[in-house]
Amino acid sequence: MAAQTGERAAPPPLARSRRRGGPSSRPTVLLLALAAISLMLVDVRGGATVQLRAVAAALGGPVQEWADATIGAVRVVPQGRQDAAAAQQEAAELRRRNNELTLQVDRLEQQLRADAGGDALPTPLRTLPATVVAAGPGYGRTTLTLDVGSSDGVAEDTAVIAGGAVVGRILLAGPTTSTVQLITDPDSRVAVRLRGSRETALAAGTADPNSITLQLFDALVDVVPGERVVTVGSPNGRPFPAGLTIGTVSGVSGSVGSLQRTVRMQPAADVTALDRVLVLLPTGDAARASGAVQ
Amino acid sequence: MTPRQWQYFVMGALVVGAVILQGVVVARVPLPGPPLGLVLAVVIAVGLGGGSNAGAVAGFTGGVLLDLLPPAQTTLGVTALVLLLAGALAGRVPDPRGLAPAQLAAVAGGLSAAAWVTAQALFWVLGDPVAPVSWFFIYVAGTTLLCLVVVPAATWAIRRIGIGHRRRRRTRRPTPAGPRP
Repeated sequence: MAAQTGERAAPPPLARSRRRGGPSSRPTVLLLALAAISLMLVDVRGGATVQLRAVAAALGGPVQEWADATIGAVRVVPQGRQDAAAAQQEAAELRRRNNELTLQVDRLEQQLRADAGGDALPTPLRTLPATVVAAGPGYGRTTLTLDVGSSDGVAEDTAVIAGGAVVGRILLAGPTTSTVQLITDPDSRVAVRLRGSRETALAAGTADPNSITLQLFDALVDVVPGERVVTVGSPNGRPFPAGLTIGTVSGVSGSVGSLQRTVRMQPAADVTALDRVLVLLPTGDAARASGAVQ
Repeated sequence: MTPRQWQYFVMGALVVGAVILQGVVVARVPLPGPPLGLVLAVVIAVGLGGGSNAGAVAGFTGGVLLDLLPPAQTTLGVTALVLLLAGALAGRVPDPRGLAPAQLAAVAGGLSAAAWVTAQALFWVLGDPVAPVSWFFIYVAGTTLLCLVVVPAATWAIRRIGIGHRRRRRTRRPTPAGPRP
């Protein structure tokens, strides 16, 4: 008993070695710091880290999927998603929104057909449902991991939508998972159009999930808060098809024509509470997805 | 396994588990501001419980995993450098077993603030996206509170498991000859 009491009071081996040899930790710290700095230099110079990230996505993606499925029952998620009834309700809502989106795409195709005089039809779009399994773990929430990858037909530079609005694009498509760059990412740039005035602008992310800066091409145009903002569209609809809602003008500071004028947009979807999303795929890619898109 | 090996195993499991939870759970909590630093809290715990070497290794490992695993897109090595420094500094706190909650909060607050500033400075230098300045206070306050829960639990696990295995091993040894008083 006395021996046990003595052992209980004794410090653990690692703590004892630290107290004895505090300065001896310096070589290890210096070595690891040099290794970290070397990794930075290699990554900045565009070395083999691309392949390293691809390997990490191939290995880490399934682990994240497994962890998400395992922890799913107890994890902290937005309210209303913790019981089966809420999940079913959400699934029904998603199906409804999906139908609405399909109709919206059809209407846009008709509108573009009319604008183009009957030719230059946009490529028909298909959607691929996906679940968010992880979010950017670092100092921002501007990237996501989805549980679908290239084996499901996902290709890079395709749009991701939620709640009927664009939320980002596929940045990296791994075998079973893919990485999404949200429109709030500071590196994100989306060509957009003000729905009312039809003026074009560039939507630049600021890392703030509630605010995106609109860089107007015409500084003299009058912008009204509340105006809906839609995508201009990209060639072949990648990454963004034309006419999809992305947000609404939330505020304008400065006067018309002023160089200091700032126009801010509120994203239409809550990008901090994404759980299930849709990946938009052009028909060509959907066909190559061997039916997984249906 | 020796007690020390058990402690290394527990530390590794804590770091890997924290990395996975950071992306799957913590980063998805719909709260304003940046995700709280669960991995940083575990690295601080490893530093306090295992010393500078263990803290640095845990920080480097956790940082590399955070930089590599999807959907991370920041420059590889930045988080590794920040966390290894935090772990090494935590390992140099004198008398880590006798820390009062207020002292632990001071250590966690100081390290999380230093980690945030260092990371943002490196991001700025490297051209990576820099977080809004207002997030600094949210991150430091939230991570400090998280540390008050995570650090005692993690350090308890690190110490307890090592000691528990050592005790079980030693009880199997023959008792010394001679009657006990």
